[in-house]
Amino acid sequence: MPQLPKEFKSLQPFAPEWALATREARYHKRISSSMEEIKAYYDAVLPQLDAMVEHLNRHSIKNLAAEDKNLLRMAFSAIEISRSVEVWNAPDNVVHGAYPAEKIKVHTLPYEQAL
Amino acid sequence: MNKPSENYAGRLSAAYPELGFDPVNIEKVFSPEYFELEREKIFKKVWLRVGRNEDIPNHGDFMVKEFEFANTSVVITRDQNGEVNAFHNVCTHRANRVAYTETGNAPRGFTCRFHGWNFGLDGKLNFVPEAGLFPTLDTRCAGLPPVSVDTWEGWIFVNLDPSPKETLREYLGELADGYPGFFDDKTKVATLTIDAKANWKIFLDAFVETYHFAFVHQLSAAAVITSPDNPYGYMDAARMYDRHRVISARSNPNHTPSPAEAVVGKLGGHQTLAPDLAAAATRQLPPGLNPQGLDDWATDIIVIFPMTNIQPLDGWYVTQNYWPISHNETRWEMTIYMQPAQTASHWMAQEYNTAYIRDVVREDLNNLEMIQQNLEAGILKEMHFGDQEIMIRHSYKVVDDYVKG
Ligand code: FES
Ligand SMILES: [Fe+2]
Repeated sequence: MPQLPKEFKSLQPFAPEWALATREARYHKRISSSMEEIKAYYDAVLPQLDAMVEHLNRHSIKNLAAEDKNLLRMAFSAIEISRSVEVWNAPDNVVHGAYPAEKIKVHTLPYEQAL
Repeated sequence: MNKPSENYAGRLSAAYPELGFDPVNIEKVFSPEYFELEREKIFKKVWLRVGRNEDIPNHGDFMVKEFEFANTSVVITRDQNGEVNAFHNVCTHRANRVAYTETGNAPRGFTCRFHGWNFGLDGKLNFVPEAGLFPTLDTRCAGLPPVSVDTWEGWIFVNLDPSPKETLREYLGELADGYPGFFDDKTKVATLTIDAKANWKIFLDAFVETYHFAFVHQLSAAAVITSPDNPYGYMDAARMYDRHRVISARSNPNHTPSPAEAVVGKLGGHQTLAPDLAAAATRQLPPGLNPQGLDDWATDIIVIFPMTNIQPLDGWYVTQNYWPISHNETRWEMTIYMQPAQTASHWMAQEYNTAYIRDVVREDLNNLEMIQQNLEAGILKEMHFGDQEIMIRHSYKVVDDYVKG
């Protein structure tokens, strides 16, 4: 199971589900989760997001430790689901007929390669 | 802030009476016949943006671009002297392709898979197996067929016209000196692409006005553009040039970031759609950007004719190409460029913009195939372009001038 730095052990129960390595995986997790699951993660992670990023900023992004990589993935998942809670009150974009995200190919992400 | 003038009707258009104010006839402009003319007179004749120097930084780097509208594939290379070259991807022996991947590194050039002819990065025919079999072959005349190529501000442009009427600089005209160095220190974060069933002009039209934000982006990007003072996101500083065009979009100065956006903004250098206006005010912008000095400036929408859209924001930028595939199909290519990440918080900003912009453009893309279907049904004879849609009115005029010219 993906381990987080000990400072963030309160988030550890969420790590298996939300420490996901790619945007596709995070998006898929978003749209396949219930609002209760999304809200539970959002409420746990948002108050710590500042501290998580500040913790990560103290390390070189060139060689993050495995647990810091997991923490970054958790932060990326927080971003991915933030609009579900803050805007739509639904996992996916509620704008009528919003173009399917799966049809949009997303290429070349320097940080995804680094992770 | 600069309040929108009460004189909405002619706010932008008054300076361009030659563009007219009437509805625009659209009976022909989406037809296969019209597209034939656009292909011959525009897309095969003008300079087209294909990428940046950084896409092929090293000796031997190459990229291959598919130009469906011209039934050709073009190879763009970086040679041993650091020069950029471009060729049709066609072996001069018996017309096989010579480059087979979208990108790659080929320091020894390209070897055709059919009979092994080898071409250098400068296109020269370097090696023919059993050359004695071709007693009349003049290798000096059998290089890869060249494509005109040039660069501007780090952007690579090609021109399928074997002898272009203008240099790239001449072609760029009023834009050429507007953005010195602006694009240089950013890095490619993500490219989003789709092939969709809509004419290329329908795509372009959807990304050059903010009149639609209050509706299409009601729940998303409207928050950063519209405000009680400017509920329909009025734009300013319209610059309709001979063929290119630019306009400045304003932001909502009272935007309250969401909790997640606030963390990203604060720690990630404010590289989100909502600028930090106080910090932005101290920034020295290149002369082409925000020429009217709007204190709530969000972005300039720069359209390089025919179908390149470049949008510089405060410290980062987004580009789009709407590559025509046929009269009713387009390859949409959007790339986000931001400051190279020094810290994890910059990665957060990159992740935020990529995911956020993806979800916002899904709202734009939703309409386009529907519009195309309606156009093909032929019900409408004309469309209405309001004062805030002057970029669209200008586009149809320039396209038509080229097609008739
Ligand atoms: S077609 Fe290329 S070597 Fe024959
Ligand atoms: Fe839009």
